[in-house]
Amino acid sequence: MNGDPIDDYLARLRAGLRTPPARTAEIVAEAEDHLRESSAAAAGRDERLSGADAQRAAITAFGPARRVVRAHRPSAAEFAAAAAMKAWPVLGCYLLLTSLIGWVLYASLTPTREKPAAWMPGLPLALEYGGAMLLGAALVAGFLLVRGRRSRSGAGLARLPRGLVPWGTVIAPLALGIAGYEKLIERPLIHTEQVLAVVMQSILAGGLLVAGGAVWTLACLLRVAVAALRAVATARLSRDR
Amino acid sequence: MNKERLKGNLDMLLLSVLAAGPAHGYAVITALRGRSEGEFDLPEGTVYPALHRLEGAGLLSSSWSDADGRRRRVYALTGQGETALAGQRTEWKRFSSGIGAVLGWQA
Repeated sequence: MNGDPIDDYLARLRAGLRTPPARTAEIVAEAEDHLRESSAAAAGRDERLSGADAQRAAITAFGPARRVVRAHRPSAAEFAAAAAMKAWPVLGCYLLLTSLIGWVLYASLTPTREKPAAWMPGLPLALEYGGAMLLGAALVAGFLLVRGRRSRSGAGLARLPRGLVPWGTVIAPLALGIAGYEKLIERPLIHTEQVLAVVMQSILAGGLLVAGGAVWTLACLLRVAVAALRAVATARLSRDR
Repeated sequence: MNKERLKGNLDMLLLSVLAAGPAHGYAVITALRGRSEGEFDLPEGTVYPALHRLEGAGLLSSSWSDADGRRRRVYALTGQGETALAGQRTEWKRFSSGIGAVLGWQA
């Protein structure tokens, strides 16, 4: 707050608007032009009004910031598009990571080359993990392509309600992890670690996504490295036996 | 004036104001208030979404200019907007004369 009522009002307006950034800038610029002119007109009509009082009169006539924000609310389709663009890369990275960790654990947990229980009966585990990896890679590549096109065209996205993205990236992977656990729980498991890895990965990936993509990537790489080291240690142990 | 009834006719009123010539938002709202003799007095900030919607529908066009060191958006009626306004005026004339007939007013 800098003491100028119109500047303070515009700051509240800018913070509340959920429109894409370019449209937000236009709405705020138009509001400022209106308020400044209205304030000057109010001061012209009543010389007894101070500058700040004239600004407050203009703001009262313009309407509360909350009401103006509501009037500019993006459509449901715009919100859905914004949510899809947020979920798209998360799903792609999640599939890539799940399959990568699965591959590492597959190598580390089957020293006897026993065929482990698979997600889908009849489908070789290699195909499942390979398919998930390819799908994840395709999703990530597709997202980067679409994002590049949107940047070049200047198309922006609606701002999603605060908290939706962090909570969504924690809850969705967790739900997928739990679903995976439910699916594997009845099978003869040499995959206890695999199940734990899926659940842990979900919670960790979701939690770290909140902290930022770079941290998340680093943490995932770290976990892959740890799983690889475990695989080496397990292989050595079974060799020594 | 019932605000809900005003909202239902806001598009036609805005097009009608802009039929007199291009104007920016504050001028449109001031003209609306003036021509209605104070009868139409909506919160000014909520009129802008209607202007943007009309522009999105192709009935208005807008351009940015500088005024007193600020960015100003000026709206103008398009050909499509003129046609739409003419249609809405005809419809309103029929509607209001029908209402008047039912209420027993002179035309």
